[in-house]
Amino acid sequence: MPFEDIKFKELTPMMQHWYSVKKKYPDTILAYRMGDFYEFFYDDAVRVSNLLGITLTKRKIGSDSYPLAGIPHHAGSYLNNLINLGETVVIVEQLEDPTTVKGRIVKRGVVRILSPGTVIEPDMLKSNENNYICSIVKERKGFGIAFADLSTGEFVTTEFFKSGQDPLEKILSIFSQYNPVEVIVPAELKKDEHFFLLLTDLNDALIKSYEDFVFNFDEARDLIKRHFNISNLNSFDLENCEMAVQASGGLLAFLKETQRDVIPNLFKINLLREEKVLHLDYITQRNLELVSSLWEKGKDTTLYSIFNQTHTPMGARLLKKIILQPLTDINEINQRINIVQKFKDDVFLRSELREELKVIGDLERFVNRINYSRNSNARDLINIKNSLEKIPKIKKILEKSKIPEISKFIDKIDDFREARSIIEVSIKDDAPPTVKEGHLIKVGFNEKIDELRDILQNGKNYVLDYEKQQRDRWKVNSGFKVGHNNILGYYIQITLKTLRYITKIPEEYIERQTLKNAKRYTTKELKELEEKIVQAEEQINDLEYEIFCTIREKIVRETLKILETAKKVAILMFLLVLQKLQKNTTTVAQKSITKVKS
Amino acid sequence: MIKGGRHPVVEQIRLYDKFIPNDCYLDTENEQVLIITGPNMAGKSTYLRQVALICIIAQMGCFVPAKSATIGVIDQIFTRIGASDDLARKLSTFMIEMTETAKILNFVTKKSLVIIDELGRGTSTSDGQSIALATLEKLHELKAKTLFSTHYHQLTEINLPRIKNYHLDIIENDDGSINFIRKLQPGSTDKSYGIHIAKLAGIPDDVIIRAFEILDQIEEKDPFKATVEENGNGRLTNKYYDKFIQEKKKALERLNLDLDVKQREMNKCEAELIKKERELGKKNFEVEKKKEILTNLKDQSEITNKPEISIKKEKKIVQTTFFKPIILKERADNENIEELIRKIEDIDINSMTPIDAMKKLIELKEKTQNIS
Repeated sequence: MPFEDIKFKELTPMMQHWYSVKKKYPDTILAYRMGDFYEFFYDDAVRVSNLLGITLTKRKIGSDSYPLAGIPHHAGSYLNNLINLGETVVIVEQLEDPTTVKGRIVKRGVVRILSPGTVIEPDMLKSNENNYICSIVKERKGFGIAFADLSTGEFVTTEFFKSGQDPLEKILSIFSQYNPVEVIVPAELKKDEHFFLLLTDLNDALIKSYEDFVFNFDEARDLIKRHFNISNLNSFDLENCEMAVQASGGLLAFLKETQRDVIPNLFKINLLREEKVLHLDYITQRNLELVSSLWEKGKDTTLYSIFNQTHTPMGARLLKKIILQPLTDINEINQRINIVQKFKDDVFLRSELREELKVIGDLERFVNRINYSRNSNARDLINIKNSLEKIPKIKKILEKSKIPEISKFIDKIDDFREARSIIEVSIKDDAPPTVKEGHLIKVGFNEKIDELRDILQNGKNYVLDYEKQQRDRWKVNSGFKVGHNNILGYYIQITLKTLRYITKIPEEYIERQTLKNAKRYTTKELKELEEKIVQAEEQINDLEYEIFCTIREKIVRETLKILETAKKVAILMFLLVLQKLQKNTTTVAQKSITKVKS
Repeated sequence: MIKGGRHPVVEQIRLYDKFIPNDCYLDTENEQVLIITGPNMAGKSTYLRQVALICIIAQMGCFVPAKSATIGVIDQIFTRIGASDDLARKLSTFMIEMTETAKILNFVTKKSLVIIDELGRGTSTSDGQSIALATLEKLHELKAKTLFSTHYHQLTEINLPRIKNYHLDIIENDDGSINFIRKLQPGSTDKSYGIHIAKLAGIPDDVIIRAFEILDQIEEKDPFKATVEENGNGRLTNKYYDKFIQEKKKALERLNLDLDVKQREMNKCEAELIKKERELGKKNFEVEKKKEILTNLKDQSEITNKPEISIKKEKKIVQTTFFKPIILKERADNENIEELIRKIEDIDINSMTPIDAMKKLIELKEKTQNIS
């Protein structure tokens, strides 16, 4: 049934709420949380069932019925697949505990909008590639364009004027360089068919239109100022870049909406300076097979694939970027070559360094994940700690080398002593992926937790004592035990055979369940015991989660510093690879650069 | 300036034959535009791409695959390399060629590197040549460093101060086959060996012969006229036909020689095979013999060691088999059968000695004779 035909008045209160949300997000799929399931209704249900191959059922409502489909809430792969198929999914969660609600519907709200360009979950991302979302504005004087990667916290923008080289050409070149997975344009621009044909020719990004007004200059400028907390655009060198500001503002507005206002890891906007990079138009990128092959989708015939021995996702992403944006500044080029030369000359330096760098994980993405707290867990913190632990070692190795270029380079790298030690003392190395079920915090970090754990442990001992005591009472050894399950909690189980020996079941034994060959009872004493244990367990879990959150918060505050360090680490990896490549070639390569006489 | 430059990717992929390094020298005064001629498959495209890639790698701040290199900083790289129709955008091959060329001419600067791998292919020869020539002149004037590969050897006659000719050559062997050298040399070449390549690719022989003939006419006389007059006749003159026959004959001889050698080898192998087979037969026979002895020994040992068991076994077999005749023969005497069954049921095998069992068996046997 098309959405327009749904009669609001005839809906149940819950469906009325669904209707009102759906109306706000017309071109999306609404995943509506009900208990342990995300449910899809009406046309969404039909679409999802077609896309995912899940069963389509019907729900009766009066004389009518409507289509319905659902996926278990923990089955993330279904959502992944929807995103990969280019759909946008709006997640509506229950905002309160349904058990506490009586006589009305549970309060629900949109918590997240998932689309190809806004996912940060590691299993939805390709580790060797950036996941860019892009926005483009077209004005009479030219184009503005902005790219963001939420998973690494990168945000860049630029603009091209009609007066210069064909701006459309430049837009397409930069577009194919960044190869975004999703594109946001003002609704107005979406009507430009020719433009879209050009874009779709370059990659199969999902192209979306967004409200025109967020691309409006004043609107965009104010949003940027608010988000980055700056008084004017000078801070980002954007004061004269009207179109770049428009594109950035629009993109920021979209991201804010999809992340429900929480985008903590975007710290600044970088203005791309055209003259600082060697310009390769998209035809050249393709013809020279820089990062993607001309003939097959296979990767092994590209310049990138030959170079890519970085072994680490961060290095691989940087490499791709550098291949598509070679430098034009003679000093910068020579500085890089000098460092590579040093690495080449010093076998020990580079092998030591490689050992350390190899085990550094995807620091960029770890740290960005903890910024979106809903999805991060204790393992992310452990990963961050493990990676950060390598930093001082790397620093030491580099300091030892006494290379001026490198010394300058590592000057500003922090040791992260505090951040590392706080994770070290608090978080268990083998913490589970869940954060609300305890087992996160190390023994000795928090007295209260230790105390509660003690109670829990003793409580369990007490249950054992109780079992022994009762056995002695009836003088039986087998066929009598105290067990636990999720439905009954703690119970006494007596087999029928043993029951024969017990002449009279005492009054305090309350019969709860009869099995084929046994009966289950509870007693008041046992129930009290159970309550204590459960309470302690809950308290521990809550407390552990609380502590985990404060520690995460502390690490989040280091985000900017960690990101900067990660960038330097990636550069080191990259430079090390350059050295390696040179080693792999048959003849010794040497080069110097002289400025062109003009 | 690049000395001994190599294509970083091709070099890695080509495992079997060695990559031949090539130099490249470009400057603003004398060698600003290089026209590269050479037969198909000689390595023009690889060379052009290699130069561009080396420049990119250099500006990444990396060592380059070359003996040595001094490279000026480039602001843009433009390429015009091959193309196919783009039906989706309703653009023909030629249209794509031209839009890309237009872009180069409009935006190129003194600091740019331009790579053009054949220009003006998608249209008539004269149009293509004219466009290519005009483009070259313009690039020369704009002072952009350019590598320009072409099959139009007329272009090499262009006389401008900063344009230089280079070529990649092929060696033609006596028997008409070709070898690739892939070494860049100064000067131009007007040979293209297109028909040789066509042959390599598997174009039918008669088409190749005809192509050689037409080529002859074009090269001898004024281009097209002769061919056009003759066109459609499909008459094959003797010259190329004979040459072809000769070639084929030579090949046949070689094959015959090969065949002889192979035949001899085969005969040898066959003799060997027969010998081996005989040996095998002998060995098999021995094995059989030994097996027989072994089973005999086994049987003997069983009979001597466990006589009771073997007798019991026999009896069991008798028990099962004598139901068959009863079922099959419809005229069987029901009473007799029932008696027999009762008797059998009464037998207590466990309490019997082997001799008793044997006796009982004989008795039962006699009873069965009554039935039939």
